[in-house]
Amino acid sequence: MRLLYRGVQYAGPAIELVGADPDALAARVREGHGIDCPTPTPAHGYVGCITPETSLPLRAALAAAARTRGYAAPEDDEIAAMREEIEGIDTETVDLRALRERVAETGIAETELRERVARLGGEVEARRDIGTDVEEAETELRAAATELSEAETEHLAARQALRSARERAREQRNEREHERRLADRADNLRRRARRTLAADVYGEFAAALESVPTTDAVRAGTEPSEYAGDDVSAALAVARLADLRAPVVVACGRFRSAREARRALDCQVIRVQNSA
Amino acid sequence: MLLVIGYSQAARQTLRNVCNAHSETVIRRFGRAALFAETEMGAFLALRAREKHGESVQVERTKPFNEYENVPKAVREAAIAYEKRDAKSTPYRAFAANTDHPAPESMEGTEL
Repeated sequence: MRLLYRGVQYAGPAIELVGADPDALAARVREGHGIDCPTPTPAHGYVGCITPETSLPLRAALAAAARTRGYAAPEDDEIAAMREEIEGIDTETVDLRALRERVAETGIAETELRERVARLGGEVEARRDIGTDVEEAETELRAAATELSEAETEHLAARQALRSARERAREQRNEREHERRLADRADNLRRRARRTLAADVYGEFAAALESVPTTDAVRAGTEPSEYAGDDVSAALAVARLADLRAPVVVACGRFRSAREARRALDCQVIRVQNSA
Repeated sequence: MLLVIGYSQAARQTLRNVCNAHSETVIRRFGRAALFAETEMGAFLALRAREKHGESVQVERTKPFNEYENVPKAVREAAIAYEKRDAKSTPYRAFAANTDHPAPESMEGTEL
């Protein structure tokens, strides 16, 4: 790798830095920013930066490491098929708010006009009863009746539009329920795949633990749930086991030199020494 | 009452929170749904949930169900008769055939 750090060019598979921020360096490795090195594999996200504060979800990290080594899980095909199906689901949602509002508005307009027509009708009759001129009132009544019939049509159309939109919304909810169930199943399968993959490489992980500097108390056992030890030791062993391709930033105080870390982890290394 | 249904993870969480905080307005809660009192407060809480999650929150207004007002006599009597049938294995379609009881299709196609 070639690294440009604070104006200085570093090159080689094992670089020493003093007083650098390990997390920021690891981020630069992932983004390829100011550093020339291969693109990291996903396992790098778990063990690409190892500090005393490192906390490691062991099973997930082991599964990611197994993937970098070409392992596959029997669930993979089904997971891929499910992902495809989920992506094909139409997630568009119908917004019913405007339609509800339209139904309410046209309903109010219709009621008002109906009351107006009744009032005008009463007026025409009253005028007829007392023998006064009804022509003007009748013209008004006819106009109001026309408006009412238009308002009725509009209200009916609004109600029909809302009804069919509600049916579409119901279908979409069914789709979403289906999607959620698929996603749950896919999650379960992914967990199962992770367990399988982690178990597949657990022997190699236990062997890797022998080759990295661990605390005295570490015991691997025969499966991930039996691991008894600290997260830094586990992270170092996973780093050794995985094909990370890109350099690991180590700032855990367990190596005397970057070259020693490179040998132990079997990958390119940026070793950071911090006075703290 | 107001029936409020949550269709997403987030909407269901909101619904749970509302139920925990407003027991005076929440009449009953189910897995992903709840019945709110038909008060302004019930509407306020339902609308807040919908404002937050859009159509992932469905709000419906429930009406009391009185079978003597809303359901034709033939349907009420068919229900009673069918539950009193002798052979438990008889499906309703066969039970109703050649009787005055309404056929399943006719009930499906008829709104109350």
